[in-house]
This record gives sequence, structure tokens and C-alpha cells, in this order.
Amino acid sequence: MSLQRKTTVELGEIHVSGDKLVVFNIPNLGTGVALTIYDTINRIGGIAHIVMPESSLSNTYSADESPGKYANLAVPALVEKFIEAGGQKRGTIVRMAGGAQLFNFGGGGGNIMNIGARNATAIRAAMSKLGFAIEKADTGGNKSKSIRFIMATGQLHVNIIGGKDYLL
Amino acid sequence: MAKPTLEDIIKRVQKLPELPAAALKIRSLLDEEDTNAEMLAEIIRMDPSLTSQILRLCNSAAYGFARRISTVKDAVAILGFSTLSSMIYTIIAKFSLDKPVDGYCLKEGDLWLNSLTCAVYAKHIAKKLNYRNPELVYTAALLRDIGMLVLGEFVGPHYHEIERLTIKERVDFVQAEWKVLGFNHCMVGARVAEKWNLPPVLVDSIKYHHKPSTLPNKTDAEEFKIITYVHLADMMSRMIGYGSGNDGLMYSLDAPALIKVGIEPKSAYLETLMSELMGLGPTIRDLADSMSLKEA
Repeated sequence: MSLQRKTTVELGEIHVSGDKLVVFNIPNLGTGVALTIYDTINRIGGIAHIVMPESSLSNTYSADESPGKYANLAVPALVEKFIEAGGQKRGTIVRMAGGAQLFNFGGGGGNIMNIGARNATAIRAAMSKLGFAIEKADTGGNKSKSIRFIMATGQLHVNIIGGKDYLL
Repeated sequence: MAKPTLEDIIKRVQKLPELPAAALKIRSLLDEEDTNAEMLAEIIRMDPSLTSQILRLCNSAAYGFARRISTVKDAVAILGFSTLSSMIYTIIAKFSLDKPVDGYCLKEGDLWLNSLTCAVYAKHIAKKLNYRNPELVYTAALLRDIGMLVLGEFVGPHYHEIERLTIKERVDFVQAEWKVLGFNHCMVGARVAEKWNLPPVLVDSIKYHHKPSTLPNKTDAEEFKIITYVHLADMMSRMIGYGSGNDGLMYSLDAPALIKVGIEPKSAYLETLMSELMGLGPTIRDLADSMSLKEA
């Protein structure tokens, strides 16, 4: 029997954990992006399920809401929680996966058609501002991805729907 | 595996399980002018499973009624026919769609969750645009992909051919599906809807939800709106990522249809809408949970 504790990371949620039994998963990212950070020395990890690049795109966002939906707010919030939990920059690996794209063959859509790529760009920019580089990324394509992020090892398993799991 | 013939498709449609009799009876009564609340309550009460499902839905936070509803009579009176109708379709959809569809790489629960999400989004869009019957839009969205139940058996072996064609000919998945198999899940879904005697607006919504602008010219403006709202909700549910399969985001936005119903696809409107729809996650989870509880 597996002792792993599986936690689904819903849209806009941010989680940080030092518990080796925890496995975070996101079953279907769509155009959203999973951003993960893992301190390989202290074995502390964090994850954000980001859906949009900028909170200014929302006309309903309020300060009471979780900041995790929008890259510009989610990235600093994830890093802050990670550091609060004892995570350190040295030996830390940052990865991201997701950000699929809709077809836009007719060219009739606006900015929403490339929101997956814009999510990835916004995350990179926000991480760089905080002094973190994204070591590995798998974003884009026209199929949704699912991920599993293992706290015991820091491994990020990615699956493109219909395909096989691979390690990022 | 050989490509399906029309006969194969019809045979497979015939093999689909019959819908729950009480739900079907209520659905047809809701379309009749002389139906009254007492008649509906009587039929619901005769079916303990339906009774418990309706009461659970009524009392879920998604419907947000101020007081607890504990009798079928109260439920019918408080809900009104339009909401009761969409609730009956929710029960029918759960019964039909909550199963794996291997050809589209949909695990058990994926098609159901994706359909419920699309329905909740479509209702939100209809309300936002002041459409007079958001419950009908909800129902149309809920059933839009029933064709996958049938075509799922035939897509698997041809999946890579379909996928290659999307890139080669710059067409979306549903067009490539039609080019490779001779059918797509929308056409097949319309046949299923006809077998189930669904109203014509739902048959059309299933058939045209990927490209409302191809609806016949004589289609009335109301129906066009319903199907376009379903199309937009379908696209959004795929983007936000609820339960979509291997056809994923190989999807084209029907910009002319959106423009026709007053939505400018190149404006920031769609991004604002997306951020609103993300906030409906708890409503969707609550509805899904209330439908997955075991009967008392």
C-alpha cells in the first residue's frame, strides 16, 4: 500500500511542503502552467497552478482572493511561501510545464489565442526578477498536459494526454 | 481497423443504454403545455433514485437556495420548470457520460466533468449577456459531446492520422475527424440526440457547436445565440483544462459566430471572461460532488 498523500492543485492554488509523502498533481493543465520550485538540499518544494499572465486582465480580482491564478502575483507569492517554509535559493531547481495553445488557423481570435505562451513568458520574467532561472520547461503544443510533483525526490513527471509519462 | 460505415454508427447508437425511464417521462412532460407541478412531483416520487438525486442537487450550494428543500413537492414549486428541466438533464448526462471513452483518452469521469464544466460556463455566459433562458444554454452545453460515446470506439486506431491531418491541412480536430472517418462526433451526437428524442434545438446544438456559423441560414437568431454560447464555453473549458481528452486544444474559434452575437473576439473581453469562469471552480466541484454521493 502506498503511503503517498496525493494532493490535487486546483486552479490558482499555491502549495508548499516539506513532507516527503506528499505528491502534488494537476490532471489537466490546458493553457495553464504548473510552476514548481524544489530545494534539493532541504527537500522543500512548492507548486503554483497559474492560469493567466496578468491580474489586470481580471475585472473581478480582489486582494482577498488567492493570488495564484495570475503569473504576476503567483510567482512572488510562491517564492515567499517557499522561503518562509525554509526553502533556499542554493540547490533549488525551478521547472514549468503546460501552457498549451489553441489552433488559430482562421486568425480570427485575439490575445486569448496565445495565452498559454504568454503565461510561460510572464512566469519566466517574474522568476528572473526574483533571481531564479527556470531550469527546465515544457510548454506549448496543442494538447493538454498533466503533472505529478513528488516531494520526496523533487521529480516532476509530465504526461501529454494520450502519451507516456516522462521526467522533466 | 476499418473506417466506420453509416451502418456501424447506427448499430452502435442503438446499443447505447436506454435512459432512465422516469427522467425521460419528466423531460417529455416538461415540454407539454398542460403539465402542472403536481403531475411532475408524482412521477419523481415514484422513483426513489431520481427523488434523492433531485433533492441533493436542490440542496447543493450551486443552486444556493436559502432554505433546505426536503420534499419533492417543494422542490418542484421552488425550482420552476426551467431549472427542473436542466436538473433532469444533469441527471441524464451523469448517467450517460460518466464512463471512460478510450478513443479520446478520456478516463472515467473526464467526459462528465468536462460536460458539467462547459454547462456551468455556458450558463454564466448566457446570464452575462442577458439571454432570457440560461438553463436551456446550460442543457445544450451539457450534452454537446454525447457523440464521443459512439465515435470513441472508432477514433482510437485512426487517432494519429487525424492528428497529422490537422497540421497538414490546417484544420481543427473535428474537421480532420470527419475527413478521416467520414463522420465527426458532432454528426454522430446529433443521431444519438434524435434517438433519445431530444428537442431540435439540442440536436442542432450538438451538431453545430464546433462551428455555429455553419448553421443553416434559416436558423432563428435565438438558436444561433444558444449554440454560439455553447461554442464559447466549450473553448473556455478546454483552455482552463477541465477533463478534456486527446483532441485537446486542436480547436478553432468561430470568430464570425462570436461577432454575430455581439462579442468581439479580438478584444480583451474573452480574457476577462476567462478570469470570471475560473472563479466558478467551486460551483462545478459542488455540483459534481452532489451528483457523486451514494444514495442514502
